[in-house]
Amino acid sequence: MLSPLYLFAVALGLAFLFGLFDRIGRAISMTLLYAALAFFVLISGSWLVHLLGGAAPVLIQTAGFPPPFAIALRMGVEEALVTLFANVVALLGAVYLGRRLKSGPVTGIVLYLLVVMGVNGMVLTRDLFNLFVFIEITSISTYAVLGMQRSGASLASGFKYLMAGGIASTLFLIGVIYIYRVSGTLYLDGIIQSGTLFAGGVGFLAFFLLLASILVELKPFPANGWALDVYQSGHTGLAALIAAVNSAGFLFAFYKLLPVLPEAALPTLVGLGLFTFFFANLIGLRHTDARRILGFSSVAQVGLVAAAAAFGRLTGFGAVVTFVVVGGLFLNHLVAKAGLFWTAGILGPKGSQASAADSPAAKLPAPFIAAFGLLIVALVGLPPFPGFWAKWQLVVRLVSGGNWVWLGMLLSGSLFEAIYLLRWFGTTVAVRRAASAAADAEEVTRTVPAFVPAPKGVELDEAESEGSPAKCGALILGAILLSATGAVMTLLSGEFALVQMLPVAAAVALFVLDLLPGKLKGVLSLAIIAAAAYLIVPSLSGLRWFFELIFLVGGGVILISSLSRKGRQVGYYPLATMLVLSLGSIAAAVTALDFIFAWELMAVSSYLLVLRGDRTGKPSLRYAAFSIGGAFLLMTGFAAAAAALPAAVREIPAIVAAAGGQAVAWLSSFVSGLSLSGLTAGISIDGLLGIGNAAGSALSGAAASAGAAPGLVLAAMILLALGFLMKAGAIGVHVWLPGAYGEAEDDASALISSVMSKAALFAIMLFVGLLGLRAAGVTGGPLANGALSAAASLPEIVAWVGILTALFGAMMAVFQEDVKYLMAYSSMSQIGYMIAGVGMMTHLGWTASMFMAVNHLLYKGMLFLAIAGVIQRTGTRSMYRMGGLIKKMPISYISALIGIIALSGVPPLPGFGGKWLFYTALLEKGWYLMAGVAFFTSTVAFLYLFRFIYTVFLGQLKTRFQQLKEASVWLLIPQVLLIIGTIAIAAFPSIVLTPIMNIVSGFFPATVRWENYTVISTLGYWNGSLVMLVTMGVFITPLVWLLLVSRKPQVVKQFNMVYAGERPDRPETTHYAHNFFQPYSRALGFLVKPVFVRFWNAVNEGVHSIAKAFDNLYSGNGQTYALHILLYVVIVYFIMRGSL
Amino acid sequence: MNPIVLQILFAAISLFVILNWGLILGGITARIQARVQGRIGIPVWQGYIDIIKNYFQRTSISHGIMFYLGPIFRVAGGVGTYMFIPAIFGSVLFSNFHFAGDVILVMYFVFFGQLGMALGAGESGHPYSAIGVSRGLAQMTAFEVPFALSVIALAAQYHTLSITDIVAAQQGGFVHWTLFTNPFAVIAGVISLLGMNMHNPFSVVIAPQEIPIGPPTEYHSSFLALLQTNRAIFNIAKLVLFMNLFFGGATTIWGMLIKTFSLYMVTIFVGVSFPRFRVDQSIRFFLRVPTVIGLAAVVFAILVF
Repeated sequence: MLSPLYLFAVALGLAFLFGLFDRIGRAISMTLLYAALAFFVLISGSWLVHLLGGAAPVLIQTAGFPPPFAIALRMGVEEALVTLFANVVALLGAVYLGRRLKSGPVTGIVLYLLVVMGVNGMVLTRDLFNLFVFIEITSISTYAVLGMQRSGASLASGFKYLMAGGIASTLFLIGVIYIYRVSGTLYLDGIIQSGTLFAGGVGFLAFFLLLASILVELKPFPANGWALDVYQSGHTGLAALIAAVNSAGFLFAFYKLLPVLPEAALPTLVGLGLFTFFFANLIGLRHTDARRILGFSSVAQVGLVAAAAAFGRLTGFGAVVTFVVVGGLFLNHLVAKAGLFWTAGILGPKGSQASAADSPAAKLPAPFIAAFGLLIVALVGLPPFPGFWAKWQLVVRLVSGGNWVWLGMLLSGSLFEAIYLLRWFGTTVAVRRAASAAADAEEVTRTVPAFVPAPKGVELDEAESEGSPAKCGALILGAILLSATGAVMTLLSGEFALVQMLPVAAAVALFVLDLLPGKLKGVLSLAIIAAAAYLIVPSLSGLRWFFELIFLVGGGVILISSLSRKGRQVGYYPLATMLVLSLGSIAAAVTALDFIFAWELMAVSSYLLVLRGDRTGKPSLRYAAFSIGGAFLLMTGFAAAAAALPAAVREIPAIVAAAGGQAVAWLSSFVSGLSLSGLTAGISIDGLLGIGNAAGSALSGAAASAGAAPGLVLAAMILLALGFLMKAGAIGVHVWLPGAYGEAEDDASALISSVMSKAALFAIMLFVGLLGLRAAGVTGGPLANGALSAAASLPEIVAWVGILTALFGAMMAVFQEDVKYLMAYSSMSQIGYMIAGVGMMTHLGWTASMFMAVNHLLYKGMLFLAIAGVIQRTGTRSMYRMGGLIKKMPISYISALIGIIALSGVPPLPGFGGKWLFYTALLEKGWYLMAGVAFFTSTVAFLYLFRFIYTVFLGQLKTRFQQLKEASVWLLIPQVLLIIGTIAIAAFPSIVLTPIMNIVSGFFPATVRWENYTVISTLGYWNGSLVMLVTMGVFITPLVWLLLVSRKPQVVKQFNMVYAGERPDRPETTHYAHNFFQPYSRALGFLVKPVFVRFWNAVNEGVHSIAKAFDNLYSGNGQTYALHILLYVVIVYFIMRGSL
Repeated sequence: MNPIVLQILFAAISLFVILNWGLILGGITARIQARVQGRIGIPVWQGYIDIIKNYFQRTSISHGIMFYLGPIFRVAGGVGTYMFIPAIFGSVLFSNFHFAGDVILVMYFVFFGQLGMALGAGESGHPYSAIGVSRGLAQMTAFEVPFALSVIALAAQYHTLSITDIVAAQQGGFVHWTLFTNPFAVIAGVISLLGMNMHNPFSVVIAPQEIPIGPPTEYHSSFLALLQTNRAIFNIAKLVLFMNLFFGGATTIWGMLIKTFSLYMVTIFVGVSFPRFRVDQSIRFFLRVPTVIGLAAVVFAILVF
């Protein structure tokens, strides 16, 4: 093996020789720099492979003596891994900085290499004084390289950096002196072994000074103003270096020092880290400048890694857990942050502003945007990136340890971070789309004004903001590296079924094929979904089978509509396929981790789909915020459920264990002695719900409930219910829904609204319904207490939330002018019914809910697709601008007609079946008041439905639509399929109802029965087939009669009507459409005051105000910052001292 | 004879009876109203004359297919509603197709005709039609609330949603009628009926002076004839439903005639006594006192039965 000493030899040797080589030519120096960095990568990489293969960590004695007589360097797995990533990122960073290093003085190259060497040294050394030396090498080189940028701001920030570094170094040095005085050695392992350092007060103070120095270098809140200024004003390449590579050194130094500390001191460090994480992200919310927010995010992430490391030390993480949690967070930050700083650089100063009108984003290639998106997704902590796995394991451990405050800081900080990062990404994408839309405006039939005016091709600062291929390449390689790390983590998660990776794999494959024509990709997507359905559906049963059918078959049918799209549709098919398949994974999920993974994939893909819409700046961000917030609640809820229920439920089903085992076996061929012990949180869903397996059936009784913590069960259920209700768009947390459903592309809206909306329903059935059932089962046992009976009554509360969602969703739909918002609110309302059905916790209630789910899939698909066709043709979404389209788009009209009849619940279409089941269920349950509210709600639906179909298709045709054509055939095909499905169910409801009833009978005793074609409940009866026949009879008879008596009425022109002496002038003034329900609004408009929108806006305002208050700490004054540091150190000293 | 054919034949007979009763009832009430106002009024058979006249109109115009189908939907809605109600308790002839569904089916089938008619009228492009529909729907959401509550109260009281069973439960003397066992439900229901019948004070939907008869503005000739036919049928269908739910149903045809006549007189009485509400006023009206009465009916049913 190459000795790590070569790292230093090469770096120092070259540093001296660069001056010489540079005389020959800069190309030689650059080549040497790259070669040296590549050599670094090689050294650490080869060590990593070697060590993972089973070799023991090596202690390298620099002067031939064992420590403490000479400096010792350690090369273990951790060191190899960290230096490998740091060196790779440094190499990519050098590529990114290539042009700049090439054009500047040679000192730049020297300093860059020295920084990297210093960091390697900080990681490897085991000697405290040597650590100091490497810190100094790194820091001084960094100041110098910052100083080479000749802008005032950069110099000023470099000076602040110098000042902070100076204070830190002083502390370190004094600490080192005293440590040597107390313990007689500076060899770290010697200090750890002797364990006598803290015997007296001096020892603690000495070590504290050293630790404080490292803490300051980790840029803790609030003593980090200096660092933020550096991030903002330094060159992005250097900011990336500091944020990623330098931080790697300091974090590892911190990690090394942890074993010295007594356990009692660790909670303080966890707290400090999370404190930084929380506040840095909070303040980050207020900023829109990309570099500033990346600065806040860097500071925050470093705090989080430090906290995770300390927490790991505190609770005794094993090797694998440390790798997944600490390593995961750290590597995630390292690569993603560097990549994002580069992105900010490529986008330029203007591209990093929220209101960029002339960003260069428009000119950048799609892979750049993809890499940008991947890095953002990774940093936010979404799957399949390392941050996700780390966060999950961390959350599980925080919950089982009862560390609720820390958990709160972790999750709220993560949410803030997600919001500001996605805001940046969303803005960039919007600008880019607006620009490309403007570029091919001639081809686009839609006339909706672009969100932002097109860029005018401004001259950009050449040195700073040019997206050269090399720069983009560095970025893309970074994203690939991170994805690979994520893949390893995925394999490591052990309990996780590989089939769950299908959505990601399909998305990657389709993205690679993105150069193909759009239609071909569409067919490929459909084929993938069909294959998935063919493979997965038969392997499932019960609820999973039912929802899998809805997701995959429904999703596939609706996706046919996308073939109407023209052009290549870059990025659409990977996302849409990923969405459909991730829904499939949700239904197939076996463990809680599977579930969360698929759930987050769904959130990511649907967020990105929504982002593709025209005016989606705010709506998509709001959607993302609620999705991510909801997912955090779910993570916590699952973790709490796992902690609450007895160990027996944590059996991992064999199939998952087998798949996970294979993955682990494969990894083991690279890593000797790999053991996943302690890693898996192992929460089997069936086990949790007490269904389906031996453990479950035993557990539903009182006997097996020993060890369950009732309070935690309740907490878990509330958290899960809240998380899923958020996703369902329940009243109060619905504010994201209209925007997301309404602003997505028109056919994507159909997919999201008719298919994806059922995911929340499925989840509520499982984790509110069945978990509630289980809690109720346990109530009878020795555990009977208030918490559990409260848990058992949670479904009733959920039912009320559902019915109120239905009511207010319908009310709001009535007053919309925008056809997609109307349908979005209508979806919200319909989902509300279904949730209420689940909340009833009876056979009929669940049957109603599932039957309505099928219907909603059919009719909302039809309606949204019909609308998509209309919008495509008319170029507007305002209903009053349409009118009379029945003459031009008759098939779309029929689809809309069937859709509204089915939705409204008018017999004979199956919507009535849903309503009948629903009311019968409510009355059977004795929930009379809810039945009243439900009936009122269902009449309100008539209002918006009539308004929709009348103002769009009936009334007066506008002159400019005289030449309109019927919608694209690809939009009509899925509509026709859905119509056929609807009619079939109307004529023979039993084809759907019987399987549903059978599934539900597994959970609740049936109270309905079939008698030939009649469903008979305890209260009433319904024969759908007969109703269909009678309706046809009473319809056809008068029709035949009318045809006989009035065969050929004279067909008249549009304005030929009785108009009381007045002559209709123009269609615009004759079409009664705008503010259609004015009297209704006068009577009941008070019900749709945007109370919740105001509430959430106030929350937003409040958070921003608090953030502003803290942001005021950052005055930009170096002296103030120095004072912050000193005060911070003093305060931390007292806290830590007190804790010992 | 084949039982299905027989059933259809019975239904046709039952429908024929109802149609005639509806037309005559319209004539009688028009005459009564005229007398109240000091006029002589139309002959009782005016309904027949109108329909026949309309069929023989020389001209007939259409605005499109949906316009053409609108009256068909309306008639189908009216006839269908009647078809799902057993008109006379214990009579095979008048049992119709009540075994297809319970009272929820009837409540929803009412919407079938209204919706279709509204769509047909919509295609005419006449703003008055749309205004009328807008008012009608708005008012409907309000008056359905007390009605729904009264039906819920019945479900709570009789533990069934089957109309036949509800009627059966009221047999054995008038004290068993819902009118006496749960008067709140009856009051709420009958107030809703006023809204459904769209006489004063809830007549703004068809306000003749303002939006000449609203939704059907553009309909005439055979279309109008169909609508008039339906009006007769649908009117009786509603009255029969209310009679079944609240007034003990009917065991003979005479009982049915008397009860529906009396019930309709309530509407007429109120109609001639009060001026018209604006739509928002009538919405507020229905959602206040009648809704509270409806809730009282439910509470009463839960507590007492």
